[in-house]
Amino acid sequence: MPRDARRAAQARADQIRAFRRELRTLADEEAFRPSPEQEAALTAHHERVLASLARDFDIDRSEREGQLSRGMQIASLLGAAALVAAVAALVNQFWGRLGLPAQVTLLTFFPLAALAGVQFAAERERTRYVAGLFGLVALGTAWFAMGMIARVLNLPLSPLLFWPAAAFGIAVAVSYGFRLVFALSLAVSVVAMASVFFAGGGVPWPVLFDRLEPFTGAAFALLVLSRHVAPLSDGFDNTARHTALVLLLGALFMLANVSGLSLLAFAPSTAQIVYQVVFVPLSIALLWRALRTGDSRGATLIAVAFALFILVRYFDWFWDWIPAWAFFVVLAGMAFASIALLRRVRHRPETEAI
Amino acid sequence: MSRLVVAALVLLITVGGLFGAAAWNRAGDVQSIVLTERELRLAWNGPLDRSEIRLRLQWQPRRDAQDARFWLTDLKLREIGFTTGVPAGAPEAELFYGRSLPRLAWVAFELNGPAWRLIEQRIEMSRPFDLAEPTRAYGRPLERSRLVPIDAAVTPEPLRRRYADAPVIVIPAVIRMHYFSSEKEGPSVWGEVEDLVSPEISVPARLRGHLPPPAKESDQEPRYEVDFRVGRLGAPWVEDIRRLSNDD
Repeated sequence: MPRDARRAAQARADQIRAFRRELRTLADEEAFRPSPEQEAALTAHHERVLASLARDFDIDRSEREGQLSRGMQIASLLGAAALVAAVAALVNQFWGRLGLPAQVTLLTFFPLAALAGVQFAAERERTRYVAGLFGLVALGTAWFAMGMIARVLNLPLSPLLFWPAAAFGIAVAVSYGFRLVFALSLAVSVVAMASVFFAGGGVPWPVLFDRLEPFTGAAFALLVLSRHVAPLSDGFDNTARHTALVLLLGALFMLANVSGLSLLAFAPSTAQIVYQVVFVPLSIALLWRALRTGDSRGATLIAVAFALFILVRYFDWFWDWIPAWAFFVVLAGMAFASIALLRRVRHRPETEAI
Repeated sequence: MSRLVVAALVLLITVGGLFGAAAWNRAGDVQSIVLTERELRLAWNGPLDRSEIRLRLQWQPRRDAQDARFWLTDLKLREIGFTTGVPAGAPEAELFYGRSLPRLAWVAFELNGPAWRLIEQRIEMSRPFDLAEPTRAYGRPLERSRLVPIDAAVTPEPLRRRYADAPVIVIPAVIRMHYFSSEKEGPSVWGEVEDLVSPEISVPARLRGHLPPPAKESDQEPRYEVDFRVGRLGAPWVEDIRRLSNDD
């Protein structure tokens, strides 16, 4: 079943629920009340549609079912993490007694079994929560296997290994539209891209976490390329964009606030100022674009990063200069100002829509 | 299942690629040397019954600025890729060398050679009260390794040719520049081996029984010796382990 078809079905069910609520409100306000025949016909039609959608797509028919679905998503995430931890602990338990062929067979078996689990669950369960859990387990155990096999063969952890690790994750994600698996694989792709910069120059690849410009550049490249991944699966362009935003703004945040993380040939404090200057217009430009394209989750991510940046800068600049009470009063004033600003931004598209 | 075949193939090809790399590493011109517990210590000094066993390579770091400049000269540092043009006494030297990135290089480590003799003399002169003490398995393991870095280059071939007849292994390592200034000695800049690319080596299951139990304070070292090999990729492995009698 295509993932986008299920989303469209869920959107239709949400629309019916909203329509019913609005109809009740209109009736309470005595603005409009359908005749009993119309109401019965509408209710019967909606029930038929909802029953059909529930049968075909296993959609959430009520707010409560939606909450339960979100609970299942969290449970599947925790379950996946627990299963990967169980595999790692099991391997560690018997590792010393096994020869190399048994070690490699065991390590390769777990991700392959998890892939079989993905297929088995996806064919039987329409919500894909269990399939998603197995997808995450396949990803975690495959990465664990690649790292451990390199380790037992005494091969150093080469940045070359990040490429197949990312490719495996993307292949799993694309199979049934697993967004979290896709996001994690893209994050590894960004690390792989950044490592090329250092490995090509004879510098150990872990330095990419000590000098963040190549990582930032790779995250920016992912942001630019994000809309081109839309054909892979429904919503993957949004996933790629949000992953890129988290990595890009996170790296820039560190460059702007932590000394000594830059490759720039300035004093560390000067490099920090450069990135503080870059952070503000870039965040505003990204926020403006996210609001224009209706990407509310992206806008929230950027707004949170920007608010954190302002908070840290404010502490850095003014904590030693002004009394503590004045510091917190100004901080509260800034919070009110940002609420007012966001309220204006929030109302503008609604006014335009009207 | 067709949707997931690509993922399964990626995994199997990666595992195959890792085995191919390991096989290629062990084929051809392999370096071989016999090291003891002084140079290859158990990375985990706990129960050996279940968990993976790894040996950790120990070497003399040669952190003394004068000693470091003796083997890792400005010329070699420049060959490896460092910029050494800023004099140690220049005002910007601390910032410049402090921000210098580490580099990967191939380093020749000599076992029990002239460089070790000098280091041994220095250690003994600095620890006059310990002379009467027998060598114990516990405490100051770094001071007992006889493996000393003596040369470095961007590629392994010149080093392997240069030290073909000496008890030397050439392995990839991370080299970093250091800057230090004191009122007594003034500013100085030098390079040193910060770490090895493969500092720990996995012990195959067939050799686990050759290792002694975890060291006790009364144990005298070395308790074992290891046939240590390094392949074309610079990846090491353990070929054999033999127990040593301390009565020798």
